[in-house]
Amino acid sequence: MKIIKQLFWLFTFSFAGEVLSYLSPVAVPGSVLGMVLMFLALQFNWIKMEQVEEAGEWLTNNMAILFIPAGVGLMTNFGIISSVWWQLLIVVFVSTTLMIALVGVTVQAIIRKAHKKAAQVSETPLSWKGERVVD
Amino acid sequence: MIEELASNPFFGIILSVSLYLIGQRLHKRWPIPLFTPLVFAIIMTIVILLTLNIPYASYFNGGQYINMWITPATVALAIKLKKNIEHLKKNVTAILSGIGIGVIFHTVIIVMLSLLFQFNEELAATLFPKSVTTAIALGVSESLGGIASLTVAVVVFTGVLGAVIGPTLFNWLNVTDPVAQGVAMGSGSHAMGTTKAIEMGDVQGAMSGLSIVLTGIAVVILAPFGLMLIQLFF
Repeated sequence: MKIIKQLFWLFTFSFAGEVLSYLSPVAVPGSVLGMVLMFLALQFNWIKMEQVEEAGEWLTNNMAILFIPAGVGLMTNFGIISSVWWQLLIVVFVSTTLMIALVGVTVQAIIRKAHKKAAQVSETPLSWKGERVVD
Repeated sequence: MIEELASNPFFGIILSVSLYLIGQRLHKRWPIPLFTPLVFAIIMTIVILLTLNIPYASYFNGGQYINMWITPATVALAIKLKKNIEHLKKNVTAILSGIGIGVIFHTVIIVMLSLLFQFNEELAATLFPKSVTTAIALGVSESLGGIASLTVAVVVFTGVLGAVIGPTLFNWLNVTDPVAQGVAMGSGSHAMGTTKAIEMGDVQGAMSGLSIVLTGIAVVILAPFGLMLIQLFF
């Protein structure tokens, strides 16, 4: 019964997301809107974590299996793929490598800069009022 | 007779799940990318359907019952986001700007390469959401007019590739910060990158899981601009 109640909430938010997506003027997937609604509901305690946790984590932890039918749909697109397969491989290889590298380097640089600043602030002597002098 | 039985919903469900489970066993013994359960199940299902001459529509009679769980699973990603929100608050500027810059840069790369290879609008739309988790990528690809099944294939390939090359890239570029590693894995190669990130450490795993969701949201927000770029150039 517990699992049924939890799935009920997940399905309700799924449908609410689809309804919003249908009404929205820009193309946003209903599933993502459902996720945002669910996050807001959890954040503002409209629903409690225990009311969705088990079924939800079971789904997210086993997500990969859900994509088999969609992936098998490739067999209906062999025509397109056979003409561009090596270009697709290059696009995926180049874009994935650069994306991981760029995000890794950027995030590390910003974190280090923030730490450096924090260290500088704590080393700055206090002014006579007891406030830190920061320019 | 085969076609009639294959149209029974249980056929598609049993075929998919059994191949996935076989893939899991193979991957445990021989952890090579080809045996990643999802990759193995997709390839073998296609091989079996083609060999037995079963149309995709018959298989999808069962497949649709697996497919329909994608939406509630995506909704459930909110639980992961909620659980990791503290990690986000601690490094909010670094994480959000890293993902934002990454997603914009990724879009530019896709558009440039698509122009170089003279892809059509449909293919560019298929590739645009490739670094995000399959559930979100599927939705974005469909709403932009891409080819859904090809998006799934490209997303899966991105994930497998990212999980393999991520650690090597971090070595080369001297990216040692665990937060930076996790965010890069999650935003560049979604759930499969996260599996690798979890092996690298707890912080990496949590950051990677969080970044899947944030990158997905960033791509959704950027999608209208992506569509504009695609319509402008193609």
